[in-house]
Amino acid sequence: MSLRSYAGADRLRSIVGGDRSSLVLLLPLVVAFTVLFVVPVGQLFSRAFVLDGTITLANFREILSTELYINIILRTIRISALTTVITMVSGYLLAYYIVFRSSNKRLLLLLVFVTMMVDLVIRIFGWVVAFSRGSILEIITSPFVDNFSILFSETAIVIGLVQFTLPFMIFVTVGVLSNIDNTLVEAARDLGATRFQAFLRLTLPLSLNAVIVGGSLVFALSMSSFVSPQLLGGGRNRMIANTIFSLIGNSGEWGIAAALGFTLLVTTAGILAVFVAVVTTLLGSDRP
Amino acid sequence: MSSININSVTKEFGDLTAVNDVSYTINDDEFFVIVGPSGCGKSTSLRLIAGFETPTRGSISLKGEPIDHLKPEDRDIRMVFQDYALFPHMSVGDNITFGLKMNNVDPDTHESRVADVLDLVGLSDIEESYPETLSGGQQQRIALARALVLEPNVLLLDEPLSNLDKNLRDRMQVELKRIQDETGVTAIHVTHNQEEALSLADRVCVMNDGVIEQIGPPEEVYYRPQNRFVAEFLGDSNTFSATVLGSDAGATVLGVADSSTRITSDATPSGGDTQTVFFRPEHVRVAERVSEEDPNTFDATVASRLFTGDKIKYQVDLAEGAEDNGLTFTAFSDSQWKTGQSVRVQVPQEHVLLL
Repeated sequence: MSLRSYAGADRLRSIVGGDRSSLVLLLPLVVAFTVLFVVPVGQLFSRAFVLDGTITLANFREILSTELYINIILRTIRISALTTVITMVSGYLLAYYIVFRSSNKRLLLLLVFVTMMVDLVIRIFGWVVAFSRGSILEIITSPFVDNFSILFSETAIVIGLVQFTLPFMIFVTVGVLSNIDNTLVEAARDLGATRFQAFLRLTLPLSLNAVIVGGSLVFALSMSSFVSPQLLGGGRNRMIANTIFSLIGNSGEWGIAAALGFTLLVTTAGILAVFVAVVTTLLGSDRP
Repeated sequence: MSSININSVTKEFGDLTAVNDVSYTINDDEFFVIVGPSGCGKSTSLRLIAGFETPTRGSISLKGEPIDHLKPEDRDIRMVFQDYALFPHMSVGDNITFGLKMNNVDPDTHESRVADVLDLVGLSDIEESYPETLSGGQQQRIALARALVLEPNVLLLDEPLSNLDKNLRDRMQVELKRIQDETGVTAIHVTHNQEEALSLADRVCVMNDGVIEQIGPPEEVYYRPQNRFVAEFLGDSNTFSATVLGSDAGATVLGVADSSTRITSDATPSGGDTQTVFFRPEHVRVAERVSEEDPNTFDATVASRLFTGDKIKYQVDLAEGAEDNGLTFTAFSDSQWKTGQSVRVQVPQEHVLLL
């Protein structure tokens, strides 16, 4: 972990723990966060555990015993994991290119930012058009592929999610990579490391934060995604968020919906904990 | 035997010429110091030798073999960076072992080699520490150890002492000299600090504006500078534009300050009547009375006094009769003179050089 990040942690500690008067600065946010987020979410989750006035796990039992819900949870994890892997690798590579190889870093960052300026729903509708029958993509691919149409498939959802999450990964990684002192890489080369060895032994472990933060962000965004599966997945490929939406919107089943929401949170947090532990051991092995 | 050969090397960055057609040779076991103001091309020279930059024109060879096609990792040349560039996520031991691993050195020898090199740089029991917990001086020694553990042919030092305070810097200068002596490594050291250059170097190379002004042993470049830049860059100096007026009893007579003041020199002028007169402040004698027969004796007034501990540095304004003629000499003296006091100054003509 870099010196810089330690300095940052120290500063954070001194703001939160050290100086009492600084806490006043945090007060408005803490109040707003409590009133507008913690309380409603607490209320919602309490519905998951309360049925007819008694505390029960009946909602969770129903989720775990219904194949439909199990499949939806597994599909959500599968799609999110695939999205995370694709986004992490391609986002890291692009960020690496932007920071270390490109001659016009600012222009490229602006281009990445431009993709975020159009509303997600509109971007996803763009994919709907592109994936539909008779689309230009189908015409182009027709000599090679018989039936191109991938609309209403998991592949389409993943493509939509990758496009949605990629800028987040890129921005996080560019920030971390820009802070790596290039003379460290030069020092490694000078001591006999090839470009690739220098990357593996220095750049990658020093950008561990980007992999962890970026990867977690992408995974969390994917797990809770709604628009992309709603428009690109169709009825057969629902993810957890869409299911919650229809449970409440169509049948008013708040209890199951809340339990499903709680499951989403716990599953995401659990998988992320494992992810962080694995990445830290794999890439940060030089530091105990 | 020559270690490194720089043959007509030019390095351009866009419109900027950082190094302009320079050629020189660095000998085996030599402590070679490149000194110059910032932007003179000294750091670029080092990066060219290390392989981080490639020459726009010209060629560099090591032990007679051209190395221009070799990547930095394939050159038997190691560098100590200005900010040390220690790997923050690795312990001191891992930092030093890094090069051994990258060069596939037998793992069984790692431990003893790390211990030996730490002993060489004067540290022990530090392998488990992380760089951020060490002092600047310790980090400096680790950076040195990390390069030396590979027993390189050539050691490059890029302003390694510039981040240390003066006392530590002086101690590290002595240490650097000792380590270079013990290992016999060819050292190329870059600095903007002229004192450091003079005290460390077997030979000093003064660079300015991408070209070499002079190369030679420290005493030679200090006392016999080849041009005004070298004279003024290294230490304090008295330099004046002068016109040759003729010769008298084997000495050259020169006029300075519109020929109102005459200075004689043992040196013979080469090329043209316009010369630069040069002498060091330590050669200027300040006295109440100087024998009238001595040439180059002037009336003067003490204009300023600067006590630097080991000496006192005076600025004296020269006067021709009652007129101040605008000339000011810098002089070192052990005696106490008050500001405003009238003195006589004398410059022995054998110490007056013409550049």
